[in-house]
Amino acid sequence: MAHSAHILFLPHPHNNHRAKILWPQSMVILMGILLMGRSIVTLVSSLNPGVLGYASQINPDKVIELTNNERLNAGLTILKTNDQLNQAALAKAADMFENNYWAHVSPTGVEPWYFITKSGYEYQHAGENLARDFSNPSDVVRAWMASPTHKQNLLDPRYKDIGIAVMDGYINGVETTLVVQEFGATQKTVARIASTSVVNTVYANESVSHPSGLSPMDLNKSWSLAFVVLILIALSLDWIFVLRYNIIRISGKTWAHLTYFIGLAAILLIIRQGFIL
Amino acid sequence: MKRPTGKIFDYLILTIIVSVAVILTLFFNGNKEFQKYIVIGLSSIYIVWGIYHHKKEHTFYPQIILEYGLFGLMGTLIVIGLL
Repeated sequence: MAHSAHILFLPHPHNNHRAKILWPQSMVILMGILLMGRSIVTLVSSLNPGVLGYASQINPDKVIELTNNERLNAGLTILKTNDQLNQAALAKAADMFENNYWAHVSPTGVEPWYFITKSGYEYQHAGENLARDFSNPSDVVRAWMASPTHKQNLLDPRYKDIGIAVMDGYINGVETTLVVQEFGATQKTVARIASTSVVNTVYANESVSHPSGLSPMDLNKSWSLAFVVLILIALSLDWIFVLRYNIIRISGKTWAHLTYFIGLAAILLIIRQGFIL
Repeated sequence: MKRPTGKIFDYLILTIIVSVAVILTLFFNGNKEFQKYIVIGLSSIYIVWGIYHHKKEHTFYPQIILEYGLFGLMGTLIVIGLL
């Protein structure tokens, strides 16, 4: 066992002074295992969306439920689903896809309030949260709660109604899932409160941690990172042994491979799952 | 005797290329299509760097090119799958 591990990870006369895991044959096997792992995650997430999140299955009702849970935790009243705000959210999402933008205000200057008014909802207060490229509702609400400006919208005691839209489409040629959350309070519900509209226009892209729940993105990321770490360990050991024992052999430059994989590890850590606005 | 400065210069170039790719990924975070191009570009340049460096060192063998090619492909597969 120890000998096999030695042959697999350390340069040795039995492996021609090159860790066997770095041999071309091993790299092909590793690529096969990598793709197989990803296929399993995809298969499980599509066959059993209850176990893993699935990009096209962000349930609007679940987003509302999680939003209301956050409000209850903060000691606030829950928001009621409003059909007109739902329509406004749908119209806003459709407009973003149609006019190819990702913003609260469209390139032609159309503000979120236009869609709310057009839906027939007579607001006294209104607000909007946006999210894109998330795979499950929990991550969306968690990302909003991690951003002070979005949290302020989510936990605003003045709001009484909520509307949600989840829509798939393309923005700048990139396949995207948009989540639009509209908040509102009519004149009836907040009588005698000064008329102001609240808009969340701060671009909030704080990194969001995912302390609980399994999503395909998280699993794939961990799986990919495990491969990079494995290769980095093998390359580091190889580099140390070659230097220590002054091994001369025909192979690529370990230092170059290390530089490349350190860069990939950094890229993997940088890539984010979704955005909020 | 080989001049070590040439070697150091090659590694410096590679480090700069990798760093630029990481910075670009950070700058274009959210633009997954562009990030794909960055990773494919980085892997391609890495393979070209390997060919250039080993030709320069007179250690250019098919097995070495295969090694760079497979490492490049592996790296691309690892990241592209997440984009």
